[in-house]
Amino acid sequence: MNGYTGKFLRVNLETEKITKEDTPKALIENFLGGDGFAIKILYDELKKGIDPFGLENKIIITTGPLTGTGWPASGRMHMATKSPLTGFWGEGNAGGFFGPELKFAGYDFLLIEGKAERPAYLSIDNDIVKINRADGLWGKDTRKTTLHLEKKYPQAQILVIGQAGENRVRYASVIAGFHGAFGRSGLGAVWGAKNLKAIVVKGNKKIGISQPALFSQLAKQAERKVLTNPQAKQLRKYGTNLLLDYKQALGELPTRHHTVGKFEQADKLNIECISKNWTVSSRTCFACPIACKKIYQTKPNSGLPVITVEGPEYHGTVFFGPNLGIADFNFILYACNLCNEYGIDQVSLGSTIAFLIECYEKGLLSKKDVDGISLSWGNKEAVLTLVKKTVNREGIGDLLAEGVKRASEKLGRESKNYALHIKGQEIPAQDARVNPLAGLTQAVSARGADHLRSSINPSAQKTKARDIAQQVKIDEDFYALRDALIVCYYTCGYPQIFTVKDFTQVLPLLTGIEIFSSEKELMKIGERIVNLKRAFNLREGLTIRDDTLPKRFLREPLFSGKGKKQIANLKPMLKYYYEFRGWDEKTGHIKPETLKRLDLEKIVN
Amino acid sequence: MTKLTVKMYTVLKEKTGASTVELEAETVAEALDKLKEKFGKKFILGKSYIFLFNDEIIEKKDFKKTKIKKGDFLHIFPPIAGGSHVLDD
Repeated sequence: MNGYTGKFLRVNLETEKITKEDTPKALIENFLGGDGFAIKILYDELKKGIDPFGLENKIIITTGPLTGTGWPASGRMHMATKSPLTGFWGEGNAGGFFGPELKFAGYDFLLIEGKAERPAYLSIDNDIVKINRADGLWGKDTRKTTLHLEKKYPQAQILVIGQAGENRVRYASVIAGFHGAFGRSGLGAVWGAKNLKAIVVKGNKKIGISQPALFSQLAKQAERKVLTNPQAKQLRKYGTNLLLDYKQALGELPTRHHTVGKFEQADKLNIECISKNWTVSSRTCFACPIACKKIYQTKPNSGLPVITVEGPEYHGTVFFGPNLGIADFNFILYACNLCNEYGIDQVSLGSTIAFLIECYEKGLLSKKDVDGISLSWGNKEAVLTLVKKTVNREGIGDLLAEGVKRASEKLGRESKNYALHIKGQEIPAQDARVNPLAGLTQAVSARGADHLRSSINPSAQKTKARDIAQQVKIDEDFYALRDALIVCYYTCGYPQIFTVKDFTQVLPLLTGIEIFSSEKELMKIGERIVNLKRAFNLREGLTIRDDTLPKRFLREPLFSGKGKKQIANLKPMLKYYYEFRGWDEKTGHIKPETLKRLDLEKIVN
Repeated sequence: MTKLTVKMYTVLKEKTGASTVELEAETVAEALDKLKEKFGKKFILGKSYIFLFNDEIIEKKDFKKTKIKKGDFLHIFPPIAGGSHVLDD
């Protein structure tokens, strides 16, 4: 088999049974890889209504056909489960080297089942797969765990959870190679529930290529395209924090819990300032010439330890920066790294802390309610205290560990007005009042509030509801394809470096599968994946009421910037979106003719 | 003629050596012409560049009709990632 290994591993942590199974041809042809494999397998193998922390939940870690082949920006990998944060489809995507190494070991994907009796880690060395005791690692942060395993397994690639996952914080992450993160959806918490501490992989097998000379030629051309692209060069120089200036100018920089879109201290966080004062070097993922990862170093004599670490990305900077009223990049760097070490999602945690501060400021909580902590915007010490409490589920941290939806349900009163989530997942750094396209995307995305399913660039956007809805549908299908291949967002985001046409050229050369030479077929695969994720959620009880935005974006206009006096006008966009999707506009269900057109009618019952 | 503050970012700022330029012009189109005159080949705008006039995104078709008032800002952003090499005509 070319482009694929043809095998996957099924690992039962409870019975310790490990089986190597064939990757079905139909799975490849209809779902391609990555998130496509994930949704098809989990739709088939998970029953409706299971407890995300229960034995019946599964974790799937997938690669795509381009993974490990040398195609540029193909180092990412995908993971999915039933999310303990939302109760719906949960997924994450991380960069680094683990995905390619898994393919070199001979596996298209890993499927983890059951729960280990005691803390365990999985080791994979080509055909030698073992479940190992991890008692000595349990309780260690991700950095210490990774260092320990690196020493034991030189040159291996490693995924780990930290204390947040062990304590089943509902938005705990899985960390890849110290800094890559499967951040959202609470994937790390499901690992913790299964007593799974780490996965180590090493491999040295070759990946078959159908027409290697032509593939190599095309891959080199693609690499050249990325290397010489002026915008990719910017990303290489500045990383994703170059978004800060743009968002500030636009008035879409989440500030003090999305109450305003411009931060009065934004000049302390402009990209030139960050580059000059904190950036020390860059890092990249497997086969990626962009090298968008930045290595930063905290300043000495700042009151914080001097650390040299990768990140934060734009989202981490926002959620431990302006969204908490903090302008100190030194602090932001330290706090985001702490999140990585604990293995917890920076977006959800930062957002949940902001929720708590707003509730406190609005008088819904007393100082006693928040363990005596003086909460206010910009209080860095309070933020660090809350991070540690949340990870360990201590005091008020136990409430925060549940996420804003559950926290607000428990607190009651007006707190629900300040719980900014969609389907239970906290809002990312996109404001529907400024960016209606992002607003619609977040409202309908399968894993909840999601910043990765459509274009981030407002200048690419339409203004009419119908046009926006059509664009979102197209973007979602294309990005599902992106996550099936798996290639990095930065080659497929707007404006695109790679288009569907590029993939119709490279995939047949790689796999020898002729249907992949059709743009229509590839986009159909993307659409199929989006719809099956929808079907998963509908089976779990999703209703049309879940396709919404927080009240803040629907009712509270911004005072400045592009969103001045704007609120998100979701309803008309939704109506058109359902129409373009072939979903019932009254129920949000997938119409039978849509299921039939996408060959899903036998799968979705 | 009214004063306009132009802010340039990342690759454009590197090429021109300027992050903020103040100039006088009647319209955004005129302001851009003046910038081209000032910086020559260093001031090259790709098709995917983003123009924020005060708080609003404006497109090429709006440049001639967008009049400048006192206190106006024009931000010019190269796109974040990806994009065509093809330049504006």
